[in-house]
Amino acid sequence: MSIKIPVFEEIVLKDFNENSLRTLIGESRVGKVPCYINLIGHSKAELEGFIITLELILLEYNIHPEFPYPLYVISLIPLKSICPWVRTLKDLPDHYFKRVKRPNNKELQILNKLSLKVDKVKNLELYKIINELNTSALSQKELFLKTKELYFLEFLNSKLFPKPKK
Amino acid sequence: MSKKLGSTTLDKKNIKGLNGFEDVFEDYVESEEYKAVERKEKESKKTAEQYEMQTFLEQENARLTALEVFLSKKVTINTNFSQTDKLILKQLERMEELQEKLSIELKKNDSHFQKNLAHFFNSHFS
Repeated sequence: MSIKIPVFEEIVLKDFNENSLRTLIGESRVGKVPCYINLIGHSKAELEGFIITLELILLEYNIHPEFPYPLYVISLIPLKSICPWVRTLKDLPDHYFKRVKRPNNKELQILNKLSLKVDKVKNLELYKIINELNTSALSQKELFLKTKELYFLEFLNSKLFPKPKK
Repeated sequence: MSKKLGSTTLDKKNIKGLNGFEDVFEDYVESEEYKAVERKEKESKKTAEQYEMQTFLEQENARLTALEVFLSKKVTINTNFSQTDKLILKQLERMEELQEKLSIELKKNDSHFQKNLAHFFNSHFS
């Protein structure tokens, strides 16, 4: 399989049919390179249905829409999804817009390493790991709030009961 | 005026001001010095383009390495050996202790807090 430089690839939808979307995602390089789906011009109801189907298909293929490479959804209507959402094509990160040319030997060598790393990340249980990360983030936030409150109390304590100077 | 100079970004007014120097510019444009500068510029542009892709790929490589370490090692360690809950408990204990100590002090009739509170109410509601 040829190694691809990680620059943006558009997933062109033919229709919103579940089976054709499954085939399209299966044949595409989603997860291996940054991709985007342009959904501008579709109604809210259509989009909501589509996003549910898309998320299920991604789960089926064990592709996480953020790691190692993101799958952006472009739509003027704000969407609630695990896929990163942007309003227009211009809002996509410039980082992955690069003029592609034939890679030289040195670049091919790095690309080989890169593809191994991508596979390594893809083979992780990403959904589980991200869930664990989110759960631990909640308790970390609680710790932050408690520490902030305690800091205030300690400050008050130091003002009311100053330590005697040695 | 030479074609090369005609294609510069100078506006018409500036180009008009250069009238009479055509021969000097023509000679300079055809000189080896100018050609060498142009060649050097082209080469440096080409090198920059070449290294741009290489740098991009190296950065991606570093990013993915860090991501892999983070997701496979750091998150797992954090999940399995999390200190957060224990730290929260410790903070709560200390908070309780301090709250008790401070409330006794603040509740005293001659405490700064009571005095300030009295001053505040007296100045606003008297």
